[in-house]
Amino acid sequence: MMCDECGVRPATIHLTTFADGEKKEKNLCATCLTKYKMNLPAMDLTNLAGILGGFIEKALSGKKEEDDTAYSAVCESCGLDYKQFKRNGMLGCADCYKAFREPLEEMLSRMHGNAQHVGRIPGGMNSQVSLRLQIDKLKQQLARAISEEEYEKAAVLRDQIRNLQAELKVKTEVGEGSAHE
Amino acid sequence: MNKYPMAPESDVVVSCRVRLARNYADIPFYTKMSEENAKETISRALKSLQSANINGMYRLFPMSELSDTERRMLVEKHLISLDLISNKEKAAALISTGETVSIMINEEDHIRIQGLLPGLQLEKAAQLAFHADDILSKNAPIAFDSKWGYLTACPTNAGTGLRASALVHLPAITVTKQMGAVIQAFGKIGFTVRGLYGEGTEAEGSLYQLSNQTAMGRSEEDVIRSLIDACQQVAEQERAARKSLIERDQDAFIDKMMRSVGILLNARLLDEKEFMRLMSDVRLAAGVGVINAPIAAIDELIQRMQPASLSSLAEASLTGRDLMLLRASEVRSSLSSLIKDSDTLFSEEIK
Repeated sequence: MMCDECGVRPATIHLTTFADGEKKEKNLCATCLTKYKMNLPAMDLTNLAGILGGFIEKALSGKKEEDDTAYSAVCESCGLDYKQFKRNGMLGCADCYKAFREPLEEMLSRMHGNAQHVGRIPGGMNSQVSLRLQIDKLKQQLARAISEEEYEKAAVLRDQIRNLQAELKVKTEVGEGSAHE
Repeated sequence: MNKYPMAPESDVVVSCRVRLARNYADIPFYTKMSEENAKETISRALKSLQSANINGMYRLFPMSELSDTERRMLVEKHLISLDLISNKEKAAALISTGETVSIMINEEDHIRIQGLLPGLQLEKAAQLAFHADDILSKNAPIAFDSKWGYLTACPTNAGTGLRASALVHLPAITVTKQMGAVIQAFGKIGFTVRGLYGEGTEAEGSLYQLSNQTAMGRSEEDVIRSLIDACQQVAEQERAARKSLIERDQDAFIDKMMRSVGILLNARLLDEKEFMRLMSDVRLAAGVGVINAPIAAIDELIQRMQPASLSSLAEASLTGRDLMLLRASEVRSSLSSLIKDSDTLFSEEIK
């Protein structure tokens, strides 16, 4: 029997794990067992990521637990109590983000690994992101065309990329910026 | 035009989706929302489409006015979510005529825009979603924080509000037991892998959903680009696994595919699980050229054989045995016309 992880080496260990009441069995080689063990906490997090309540609890647990249970605030706009939010993981309105700013800062950075938005801003025109994606795609096609020695096609692609880049430059100059500072 | 155009990478990537979550800053989120608030979000979204003069391209589906079958059919087409149905008193969907853009209103967030396309066309799906976003956000007070980005009802979506996902068919990776490694590799670059029907579900028919885990700190283009790369890589890996299965024992491989075809062409009772498992073989057989059937037609058949779509066909709410009977009879007739005259092709095709 081959190892479930690498599929190359023969499996020598039968590993049974229980997560969320679910039994999982794996046949592993010694090398992959070591890797697998190292990766266990990370994998648990992956599974938790989708399960909202659990994820939020996880994000809140740990060293901040004590401070957090002591934390109390009510959003003036919608009347949501912070404790209610902790129970079901849902905020009541946009102003909740102001009312619970302090614990949310901590929570967001644990959840996303980062608490600074990078990307689109409202009211910006379609183009920047999708233009860049289009340019990317054309660049890929260009590389392929060159490697396949289709130079005529490559020249067309190169011109298309230039046009889009010029368009992107104009868009950037007229102030369609990203929120990233 | 070809009835079944070939979508990019569709031998492995079934479909892709870009979803954006948006909220109005001056209206409470779903849990605190009044009926009037709910009407207001719907009317704002409609007005935005009207002022951009594209309202004719969308159809409004108020959830409370649809039958249970109609609602579940929209879920089976991936146009709306189950959450939208559970909010049915307040929720609505605006769906574009080509069913490539769906705007869910009053789901978990006020607005959830989805661009949805077959195969791996994430840039295009993103363009569709961003275009709708621009229209809906124009002159509207969208909840946005300069540090935290778009504000959403659940903080897991705050930031870009983006979820980019792809539905992939990985039968050879599954059977060669490489799925664990694939899941791990995706986890390392910030993507999760789930079964077709969401969290913790078995991957019925070797269909898996890949999507980004987090929404803050990475730009939309960064997330989308890395999902495209990851999909291309996993598609290459799947093709290599398919090739190695064929090389290992071509006769056994073709035998397995054709047995599944045989059951589908002859069964009188087909439950959903068995159907999905067998269709996975048919899809794989078409992907490697063992049978000569358009993959888009196979995907369409899979979608048409889901419970609500079958009920709609029968014009009655079917359950249990009735569903199995109708599914089997529909599959027999559809599949036989799909793969007619194709079984003679395979020997050269796959070499």
